[in-house]
Amino acid sequence: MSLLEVANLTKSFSTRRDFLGRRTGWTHAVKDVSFTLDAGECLAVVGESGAGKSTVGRMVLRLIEPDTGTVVFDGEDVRAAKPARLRAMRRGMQMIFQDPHSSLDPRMTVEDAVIEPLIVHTDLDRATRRARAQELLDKVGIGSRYLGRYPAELSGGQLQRVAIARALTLEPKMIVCDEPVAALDVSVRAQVLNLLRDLQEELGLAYLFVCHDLALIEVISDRVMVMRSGEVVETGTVDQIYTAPSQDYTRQLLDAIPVPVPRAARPAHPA
Amino acid sequence: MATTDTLVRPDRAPVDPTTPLLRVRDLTVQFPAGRKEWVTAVDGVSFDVAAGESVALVGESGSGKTVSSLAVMGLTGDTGGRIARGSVEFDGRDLTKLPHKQWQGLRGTGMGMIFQQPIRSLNPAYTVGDQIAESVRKHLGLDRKAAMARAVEMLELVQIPRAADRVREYPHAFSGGMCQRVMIAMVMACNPRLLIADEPTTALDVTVQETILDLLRDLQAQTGISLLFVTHDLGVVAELCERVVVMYAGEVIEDGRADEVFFTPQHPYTSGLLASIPRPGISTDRRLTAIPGRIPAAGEWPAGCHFHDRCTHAVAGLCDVTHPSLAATAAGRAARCLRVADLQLEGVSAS
Amino acid sequence: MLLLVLMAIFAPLIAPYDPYAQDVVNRLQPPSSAHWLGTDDYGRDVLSRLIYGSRISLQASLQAVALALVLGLPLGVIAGYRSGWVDTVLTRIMDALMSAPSLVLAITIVAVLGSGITNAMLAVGLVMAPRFFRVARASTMDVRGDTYVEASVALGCTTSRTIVRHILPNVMPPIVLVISVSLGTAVAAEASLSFLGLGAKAPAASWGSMLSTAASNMQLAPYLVWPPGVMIFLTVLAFTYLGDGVRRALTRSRNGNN
Repeated sequence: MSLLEVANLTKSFSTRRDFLGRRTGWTHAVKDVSFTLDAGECLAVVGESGAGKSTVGRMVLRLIEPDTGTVVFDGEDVRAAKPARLRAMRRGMQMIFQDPHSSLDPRMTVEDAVIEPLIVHTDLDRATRRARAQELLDKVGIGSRYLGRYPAELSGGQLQRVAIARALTLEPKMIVCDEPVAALDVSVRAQVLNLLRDLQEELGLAYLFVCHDLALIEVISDRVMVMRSGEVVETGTVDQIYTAPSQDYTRQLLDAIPVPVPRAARPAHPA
Repeated sequence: MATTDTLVRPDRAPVDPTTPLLRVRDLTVQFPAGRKEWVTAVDGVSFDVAAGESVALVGESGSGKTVSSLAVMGLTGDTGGRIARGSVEFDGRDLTKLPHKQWQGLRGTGMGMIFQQPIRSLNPAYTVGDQIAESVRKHLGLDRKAAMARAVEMLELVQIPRAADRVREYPHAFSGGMCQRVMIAMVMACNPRLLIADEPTTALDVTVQETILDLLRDLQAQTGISLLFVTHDLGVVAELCERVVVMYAGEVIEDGRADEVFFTPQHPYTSGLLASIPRPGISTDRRLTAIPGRIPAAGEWPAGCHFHDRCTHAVAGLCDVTHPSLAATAAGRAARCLRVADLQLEGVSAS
Repeated sequence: MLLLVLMAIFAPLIAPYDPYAQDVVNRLQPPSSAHWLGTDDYGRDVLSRLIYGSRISLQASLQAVALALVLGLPLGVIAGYRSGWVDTVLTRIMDALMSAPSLVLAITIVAVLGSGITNAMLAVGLVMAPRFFRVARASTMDVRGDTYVEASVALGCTTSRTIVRHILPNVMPPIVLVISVSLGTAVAAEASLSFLGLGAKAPAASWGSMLSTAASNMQLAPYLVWPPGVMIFLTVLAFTYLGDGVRRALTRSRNGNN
């Protein structure tokens, strides 16, 4: 059985109300999306803006309530869980957000941010918590001298590492990564992606990797799910998608990736 | 196309490297830091843009590329900074010596700028046509009717379908890519000779980005406009630009033709940057080569070479002590590295 | 800096002079000579009454602001966080409270409850609560959209923890500003109510009541108006400067090293 089984997930948002106050102007952000994720696997959810990929990620964690559909994580129904049970379930499924400067509370130190999950879910004492924080920061490549610093004092790349450390605190089985490197500089992206890959191998993590940049996906994913306007266009292994995409849209996306080879010097484009 | 005749310059000369349209020399920009102190964001930057040429100003955050481009436009004062020294020569005239108003006047007719998030540069309260027309009236002195006709013409130039109808719409009716086209139309309306684009496609989807790049290429071919493209995306640079100026920590560290810089980079940072770009199908072990460390912020630049603490080729006693100058290494090429003669750096592979 | 100087002037007035005021319990004494600011209609030393009055003013304004804070802040945060009908109901109540002219409302409340400084400050506090509510609500709604709030939910934080540990600290800066400004307003409000005879009861020495007695004795001793009037003015000014300084300090710390 897969770690995560998602079936017929649907979500619509309304932005307008008519004169009677009823909601109108529904946008179907996600339409009937289904997929599975195995333990230790990385499934990339790719698409352009408005494809609904972020919404899917958030629905899996039930940060947004799906309209219909089922989400089963580790054998348990996420949608049916009562609030207390849901909070407990969150130990196993964590999230890393796009902009580390806003996903970390600016008024909390690095240490506070990383150990917060421990405060919420366990009753370890302060010393143990601090030791764990140091251990985690080491793992993500941040020195323990940053424990007492505030987010404003760190760079984007460093902060994202802190966010990753925070996500690892409770030893989750799955992490939903929502565009984790989009807000980072190019040279830093490689560092963070390598880190995510290494952690996956070391800890056997499963990733639901939401990303708009097809070029990045190959480095870290096993399987790819292409979305467009809320629907799944195509799913396949990384090799399948890159070398033999079956859908035109996928091909369009692949072609549009800017290739860092100056035009004049490019060989003739293979058919 | 008949509608674009007014923009095609019959006297369009081929790229002439001896009389650059834009000459930036030793540009140094500073910003206030605390009381009475200034921190240098851009130090001694020099580069040229020839008439009809497209030049990429490449760098990550903190490289100084945006500060430099704003300085060229004369917008440094508006952002709270000052040009401590250096010159910006446009068409032979040093803009830094001009009174503010004249530099302002040049904006629009001489050079125009488009930014990253077009929806922010457009006033939501006025129609698209009004905004273009206003710019045209102000800079070219046309009357209302002529200005509006020009606006329609411009929208057609940037390939917006049904331009005559869409000219009456408000910005919110346009998608991100369309908004950027509108911005380009607005800037092109006054016939500038230099278009500065600061990350114009970063906020757009990949497919839309492709169309905007195609548009810029077409515009260049049609009008002979010069392009200064500020970006961090080397893929985009490769698609569009003939020359590349790479910046790091406030300095130009490499300068040359795009194919030369991409295939045979002469600065370790450039090489590292090229290696860290994920390319589908190329990286066999699926691991990206990352540049260790992080970019120093303005005011925290290390002694000696600004890049030495992250450089795998740095030599102790040399690179951490002596600050290299930007030296010409061949005709039309320069690099700021003390070891440039020794190093054989890897660039992209052509496949 | 200015605010610090003004506050420094202010503080010693309260502290070291307190024993002084106690010492010179000459409030009910017959007229005597060598009083710096003269004596009032009962022969009380105006200076000591002035100093003593500062205690009353400060205490009163703190009471009022505390009440407004306790009422406005939690309700504002809840309204901002919950949205929906809870928000609508609370906002309407607060809007109603705010739309009534404040002084009239305060007077009405005092008329119902009976005069006396505590009741007066209760009224003032009630009247000031909406502004805390609004700021808290707006600030909460703003912060609620920030990603770290979403992140805290994703971590498994309970709603109360999210509010207390994440939302509240980030809502505080504008609230602190409102506090400092409200202190000034409360001082003026207390003075107004006491002037009208609804606040501090005689023989308590509130600046407002001092102004009132001064006004009724205008013919005989016109200078009596100045001391309390000036004190009220300076105090409100001091609090305004305090508020400004607080705002500047907070903006600086928010922006980090920029």
